[in-house]
Amino acid sequence: MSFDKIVKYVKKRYGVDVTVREDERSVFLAGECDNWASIVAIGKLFVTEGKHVVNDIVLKGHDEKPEYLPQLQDNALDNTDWDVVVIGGGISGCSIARELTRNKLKVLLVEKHSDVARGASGANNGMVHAGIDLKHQCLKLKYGVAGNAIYGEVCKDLGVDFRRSGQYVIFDSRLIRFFAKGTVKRAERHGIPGVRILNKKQIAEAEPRVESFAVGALYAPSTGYVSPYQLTIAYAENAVQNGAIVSLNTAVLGLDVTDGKIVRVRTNRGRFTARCVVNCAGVFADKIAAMAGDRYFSIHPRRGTDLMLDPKAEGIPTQTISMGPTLKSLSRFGKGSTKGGGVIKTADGNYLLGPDAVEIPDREDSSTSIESMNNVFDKHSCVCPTLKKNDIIAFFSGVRAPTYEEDFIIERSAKVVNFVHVAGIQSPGITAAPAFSKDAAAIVVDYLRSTGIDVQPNERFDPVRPRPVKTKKLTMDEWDKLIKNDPDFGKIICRCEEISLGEIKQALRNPLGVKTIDGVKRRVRAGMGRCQGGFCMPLITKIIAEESACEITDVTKDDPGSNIAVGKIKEV
Amino acid sequence: MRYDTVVIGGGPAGLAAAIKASENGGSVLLIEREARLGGILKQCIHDGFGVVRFGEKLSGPEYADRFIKELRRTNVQVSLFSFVTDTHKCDDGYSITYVCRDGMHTVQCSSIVLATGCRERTRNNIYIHGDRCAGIYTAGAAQNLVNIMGVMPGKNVVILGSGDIGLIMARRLTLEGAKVLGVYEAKSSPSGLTRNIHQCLRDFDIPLYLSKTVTRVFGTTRLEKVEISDVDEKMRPLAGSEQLVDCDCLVLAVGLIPENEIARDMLVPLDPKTKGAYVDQNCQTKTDGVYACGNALHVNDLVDYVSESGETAGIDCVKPAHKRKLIQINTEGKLLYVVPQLLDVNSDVSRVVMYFRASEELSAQRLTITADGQTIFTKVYNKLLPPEMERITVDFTQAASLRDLTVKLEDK
Repeated sequence: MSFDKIVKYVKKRYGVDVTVREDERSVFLAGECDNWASIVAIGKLFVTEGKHVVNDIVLKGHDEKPEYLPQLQDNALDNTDWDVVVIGGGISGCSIARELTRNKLKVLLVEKHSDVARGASGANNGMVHAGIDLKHQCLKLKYGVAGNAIYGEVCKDLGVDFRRSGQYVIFDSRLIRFFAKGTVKRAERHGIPGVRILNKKQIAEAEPRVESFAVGALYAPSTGYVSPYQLTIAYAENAVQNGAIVSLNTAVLGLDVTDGKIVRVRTNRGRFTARCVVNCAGVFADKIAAMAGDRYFSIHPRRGTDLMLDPKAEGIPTQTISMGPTLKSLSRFGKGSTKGGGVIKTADGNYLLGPDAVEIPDREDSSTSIESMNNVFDKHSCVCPTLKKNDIIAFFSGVRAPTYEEDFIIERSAKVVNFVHVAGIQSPGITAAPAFSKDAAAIVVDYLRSTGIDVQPNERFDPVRPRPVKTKKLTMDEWDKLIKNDPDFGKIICRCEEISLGEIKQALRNPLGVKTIDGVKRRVRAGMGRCQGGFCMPLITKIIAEESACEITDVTKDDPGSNIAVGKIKEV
Repeated sequence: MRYDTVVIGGGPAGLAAAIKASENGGSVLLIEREARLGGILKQCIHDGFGVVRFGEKLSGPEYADRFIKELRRTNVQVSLFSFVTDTHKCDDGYSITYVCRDGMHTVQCSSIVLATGCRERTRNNIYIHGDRCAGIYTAGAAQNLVNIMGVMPGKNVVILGSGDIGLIMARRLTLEGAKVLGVYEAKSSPSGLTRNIHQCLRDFDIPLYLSKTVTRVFGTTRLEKVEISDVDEKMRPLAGSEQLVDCDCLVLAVGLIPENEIARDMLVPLDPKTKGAYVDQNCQTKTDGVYACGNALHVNDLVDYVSESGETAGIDCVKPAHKRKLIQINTEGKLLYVVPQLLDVNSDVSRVVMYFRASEELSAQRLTITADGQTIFTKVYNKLLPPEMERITVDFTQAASLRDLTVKLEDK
């Protein structure tokens, strides 16, 4: 369809006057509309081969919430010079920073929050996708399959738990089962190992809790599970171990471009130079691109909510089970989505239900809602109808960063020579990161070499990040020995997850210098159990104050300003 | 190492159980997670504890101290900073593994007393959605911050839940300089003891809002405001009734849940009504040799009764084991629950202490206990409130036959 026809269709269907402008890289849309879902739908209509959509259709009457910016102002980074500056401490930025440290380069990663993995990387279900849902050649498929293949090795190096226990997609009709044969063929073609169809008996053997409506299942053995935030943290820590600097509470406020080149990066912690800048800003990737006058794609924030189930609830499947397309969903959408979701057993042994996918106008709105909770429950609990809403013990949302083309962008800018974009990283981003981070680092190194810089390998690069001690995983003898060496490992602080003082102190001595309640929680799970920190939060607050030699009132839950206490008693 | 009994938990129930077990000639190990004995009483610095038992109003630490002093006169072995990691049946009793600052220990015992207390329901348990900011605490956590750590959880506080802990925190935070904007309760009547409504709210002009709940929270770093909604009689929020209240702290006093992780691991059958174990009149669970008492058994409103059930367990757990014959005690009428749920007819049934709660606010009620159709106990109540637990002593020896036991609550 020509753009003229689409414009007419949009007018008829949505009542919106869209103005279209094109250049060699992008299709730019302008106009006004009072419905965000329509704006996203219109953007998708203009997706064409070889071009990106920049959607500037304005949501009428909507004041975008001001972006979170750290209040901190100092000159810590002023007048410094870096070979590479990576913007954003999600899985992309942290993995790329780590891959860059394989070379002798001065690498700086800036993250505006007080810890890494604060965006989508910290709020997803941690599924390491097999890639069975991807139909056509695209970067998602390329890096998803390549990433999945090396996951075990990467997690071993980085000291992160990874479990490759497969995934079952249940069919409720023979016809769908017939269609699934095409998926198996396609998986073979795409190099996804071991995908096969199980019959009713086989699925019942693998997972007895699946309802009797299952006539079979598609089984993807290479699907795995990782803690997405622990992997992100591990990447960041290994980068620091190998010489990178991670600067937290640091927001990029501007990029000064001269003659098609970024010459200066402006932040709340000073201005500095960079030979090359890598944009890993997630939901803000298009805004960061715009700072360098290089906005050629749009991010439309998409929120996904997951529900955590009580692992002791009755009738929870022990495997990851999702519902395949049904005849009803096929007729409604014309295609099936066999992607993740469903009941997922996480790397930590918890169970998640979800996610959903809701287009939202605010990039940082990771709030949860009763609607999302109910939708996720209704959508995914059908694989296991015995689940009850009372079994939900926690819920969280993350905002993904898709482009309108729904594929990754991993390339050096055609317009700003020293600017590399790693954008549109959404599912299966966690899966793909170990693979694309290598290529993104190579793009940077190739560029630096092309400018005459002699980039040497870092002989002291150590790919191994020491695995943090987890007392829960030790045998009695091992634990006993550890306690004899350090009694702190014998003092349990978080009773629900059984986390010792030793583990909490170890987490507080992290190479990134994160000393927050949530930082501890993300590193060792203290406060993630059934009491949700009711018992251990005050204790951990005190431990943080002692470890950082600060007042209890200075301890924060997360970002600066999120203090646990507002003052001493009788002094507020 | 072998003991006659191991008591898990050094709060009021565990202290009472350990003392009685030792006084009755047993060798006892008391395992406590924290640095000091006393459990949650350590942070309950308000008074009102011990009115039933001692006839005086003590603070939580004072109440605990009386038991701790008594414990010191016994031969009970106390292991502090100790956390049970495994409990399982072995040849002649149970094997318990715990971790403490000097390593891992495994001990054997003939009986176990579970005195593990309870935990608070969280924001997630009642589906409060919205942002994930600081400033939202359970009442117990807020109490710890104020009373133990000496810091304020907020300046302008909204309290959700009119249970005793919520009411006590409303007063406590006011005394320490915070402005308590109101106590909100989803039910149409307050959940706490009447005396606390007067002493904690009315005396301090703190408003109590009934049939309202918090439906959403907002805040980037710390809490900035909460959304309050009216609820219908089934406590479902009514659309369109939302109002925003600016505050920097939300304290949740929305109920307690008995902590029964160890019981669950040991496959001790639990009562879905109390969320504690099914027990007989001696606090012995359906699993021989495993006892449960205090708030791990059911949530009590007075510590005096917590100690009482601890003593009951402590006396029985060191007696020589006998073959039990357990008869179920059925309930009828508007009863939330009755404890014990079982009667062991092979042990003393002459002075059975029973606790019950009405399922709603009731007036002019008659409680009748029948055995095989024969009435063996009856009592009239002018008023029954779900927050106020009732206690009775029943002599089952009068019954001609100890079959078909029923506790019935009906209009007088």
